[in-house]
Parts: sequence; C-alpha cells; structure tokens
Amino acid sequence: MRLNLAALMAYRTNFINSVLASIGWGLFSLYSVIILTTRITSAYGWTREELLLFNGLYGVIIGAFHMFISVNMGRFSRIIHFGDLDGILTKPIDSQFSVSLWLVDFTMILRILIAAGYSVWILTILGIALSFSQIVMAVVFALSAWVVLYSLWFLVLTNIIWHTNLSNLVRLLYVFESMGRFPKEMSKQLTGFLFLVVLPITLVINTPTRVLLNKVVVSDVVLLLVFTLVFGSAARIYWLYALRHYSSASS
Amino acid sequence: MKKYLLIIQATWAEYMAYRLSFILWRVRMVIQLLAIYFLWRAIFSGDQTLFGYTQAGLLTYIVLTSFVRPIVMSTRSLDLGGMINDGSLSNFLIRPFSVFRFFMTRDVADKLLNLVFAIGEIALIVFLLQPPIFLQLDGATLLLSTVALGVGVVLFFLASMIISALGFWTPDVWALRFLSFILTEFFAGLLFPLDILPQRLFEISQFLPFAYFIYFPLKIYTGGLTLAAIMQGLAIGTVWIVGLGALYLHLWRRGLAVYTAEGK
Repeated sequence: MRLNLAALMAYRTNFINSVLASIGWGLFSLYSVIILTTRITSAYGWTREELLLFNGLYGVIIGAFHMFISVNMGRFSRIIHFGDLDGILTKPIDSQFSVSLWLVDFTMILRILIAAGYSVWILTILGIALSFSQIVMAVVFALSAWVVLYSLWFLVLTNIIWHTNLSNLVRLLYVFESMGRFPKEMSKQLTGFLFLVVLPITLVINTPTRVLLNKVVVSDVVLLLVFTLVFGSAARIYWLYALRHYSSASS
Repeated sequence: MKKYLLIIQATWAEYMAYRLSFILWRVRMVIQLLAIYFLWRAIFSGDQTLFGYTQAGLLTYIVLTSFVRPIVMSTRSLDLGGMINDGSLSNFLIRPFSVFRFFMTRDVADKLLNLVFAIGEIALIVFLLQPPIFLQLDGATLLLSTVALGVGVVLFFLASMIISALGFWTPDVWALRFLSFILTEFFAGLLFPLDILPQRLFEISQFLPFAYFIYFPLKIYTGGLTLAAIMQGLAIGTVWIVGLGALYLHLWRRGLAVYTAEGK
C-alpha cells in the first residue's frame, strides 16, 4: 500500500491530474444520468430516483473494483507479454493474488466517496431508512459482485498467456463492464445470446441496489451467488491450468 | 508524397499484424454503440419528443456518433508522448519529414481504416435493429457538416498533439490525457447532444473546443442549426484551431530545446 502511494505521489503534477480526473469522472458520470433522466419518471420498471441510486451504487462498486482490480488487469497483459511473470512465479506469494492485487489506484477513493455521498442523498430523497440487515446484505452482494466481475475479467485475460498480443482485451472488458451501468431489464432488449453474455454483469449492480430498495428478486440473488461460486472457482482453476502452458518471453 | 503513402501503408500493416486484436477492437466499437443506443431507446419509450428531439432525430444523432467518432477521435498522436520519454523521438528528428506531418499521416491512415469499418458496422446495426434514421439530403447542409467535421478533425489532432508534447516536461502524460478524455466524453456530445444540457452549461460548452469534435458537425447534419449559428460555430472552431496550433508550435520548440533523449 505504502509503495503504491509513494509511486502515485512521486510526480506531483501527475498526482494532481489523476485526482482531478477521478473527481471529474465521478461527477460527470453521475451528472450525465441526471441529465438523461430529467424528462422521464420511469424506465423498464425503475423510477427515476431508483435509476439515480443505481448509478450511484455503480460508482461505488465499480469505483472500488477499479481501485483494486482493474488497475492490475491493465498490468496483467504487460507482465505476460514481456515475460515479467517469471519473477512473480518465483516469489513466495500466490501468483494469482500477486498478479491481481499488486497495484492500488488511490485516486479512485475520491470517485467512490462522491458516488457514496450521492447514493446516500438519493436514499434520503426516496425516504428509505436502511436497516442494519439491509446494509449487511447489500455489502455481501456487493462483494459477490466484485468476485463475479474479477473472475470474469481474470478468466478472459488468462487467455493472454496463449495470445500475448491481445493487450486490448482489457479495453473490451471495460466496455462490457459499462453495460452494468444499466438495469438488467434494459439489457433484456438484446438478443437472447447477447443478453446471456452480459447477464452476470447486469446482476452486479442490480442485486445490491434492489436490496437497498427493499425490492429483492430471489432468482437474481440465487443467480448472483451461483455466478460467484462458479466464476470464482473457474478463474482459479483456469489460471492454474494456464500457468502450465506459460512460456516466458526470455526462455 | 510517396513517403507519406508508405507511412499510411505501414500504419495499416501494424493494425493488421495482430488480427484477433483488431477484431476485438471492432467488437468493442459495436458494443459501445449498442449500449448507448438501447439506453436512448429506453429513455424515449412512450414519448414522441424529448429535449426537443424526436426519437428518429436523436437515434440518428447517436448512431452517427459511431461514424463521426472514429473519424475525429481516432489518433496515433498518443504515441508521441511515449516517444519523447523513451528517447525514440531522436530517430524521427533526423528523418526527411517533420514529426508533425508524420503523425498527421498516421492519423489519416487510422481514420481511413476506422471509416471503412464504421460504415460496415453502422450498416449492420441499421440492418439488424432498423432504427428510425433520418437521412440528410440537402447538399448545402451536407457540405457544411463536412466542413465542420474537418474542423473537428484538425482540432482534436492539435489537442492530442499538445497533450503528447507535454511529455517533454513530464514522464507520464496519461493522467492529463485521461482528464481530457473525461472532458471530451461529456462536452463533445458523445453520450447526448449538448443542447439538452441546462442553458448556462450549454452556452459555456459552445466556447470550448470539445463541442466541435462531435456535437457541432452532427447538429448541422440533423438540420438543427441556423446558418448564422453554423457560421458562428465555424468561426469559433477556426479560432480554436489557430490558438491550439500556435500553442503546439510554441510547446514543440520549447520542448525540443529541453529534449535530452533520456531513454536512449
């Protein structure tokens, strides 16, 4: 953590730019949805305020994901392409853990705080008083959502061990992840196959939001937990399988 | 002229070297368009007009952003910052063409490639989704929107070169580029036409260069601007081109004076 913070602050101008970018990203993404929903009262079964809360939670959950995970996924393709995975494999630390959690993007904290404050404000507008169990459940499902997202990203990116030039896979995954910005009901417009592909991602924000709104759909909860288990296990198994096929760039 | 054609060929060859990577890039473009398209379909459901736009008008705008965006915003000028920092700029300084023209040529190659695929992708989406697209048939409007598109292309290229040129003074221009990316996403009209913003914010956006990347050419195309507004917009865009061009020249000359090719 200290090393990451030191690296971030080594170049002060860059640090200030990163902070401004994080704040800007947080503010503009929330404001965009406010603008887009100005003239509607509901869409696909979600009221305007619920959609705003949905986006606020998207900022919190995805912000945390970007802070800890996606910053490492961008590095992932580089370390495999340049053979740096060799050094990681020789360290007395689990390789998947090391590859996944080495870097921390502290500038995301601001985005998370902005989104969290905004979500609390929307909950106040909705007049929702959260119970302790609701908060706990929302946190549990948010953690499940992280595991699903992380596992999906890791499963896809592990293929770079065989195809080291697929560095833009990360950018493709960002686009898929952005589909989670919209409620599951909107994604149902996609054809059956495409909807199945994005279904895990649509549950990532859907389920924790519905918990806070007291509108939990049991099937979504079960699906999310099943996805957590299945994708989490698959990511681990696939990573260990892929390591057997890893050939360093230097050997 | 021949050397620039060779640069274009080499740029295309670079893209085609890793075909799977190239295909993934195009898939990403289509998915991005689909996501915004379905978002607007959801917002419009049940309404004939919103924010002063009909569904056809706004969906036309959204679909055409996927045509205009690659033409204006695809660029290879991002590479300049890295070249400055790793010292490989030295190789280009001794070559028989200017670095500015080199990147301009690379951009032409990039935009041509994007244009070909964007046309195919939009045709596919129109065929599959059959959105209510508005076709502009007035020649004068088409000509003016093309001129505005040219202004947007030059503006974006200059802005990107300026950010890359900051590599002479900072080892990492990524944060600044990301900040400009966020401002562009919001103020260029990629997600929505800028005139749906609150009036004050919209007026401010008209004096920023971002509005001339995407929003301005598309607004002309959809017939939403008077001739006076178009002329005003073109004038503002031209002023920005002159200003950014002068700034780039200044940064480039100052940068070369401090350039030490540290990476080599």
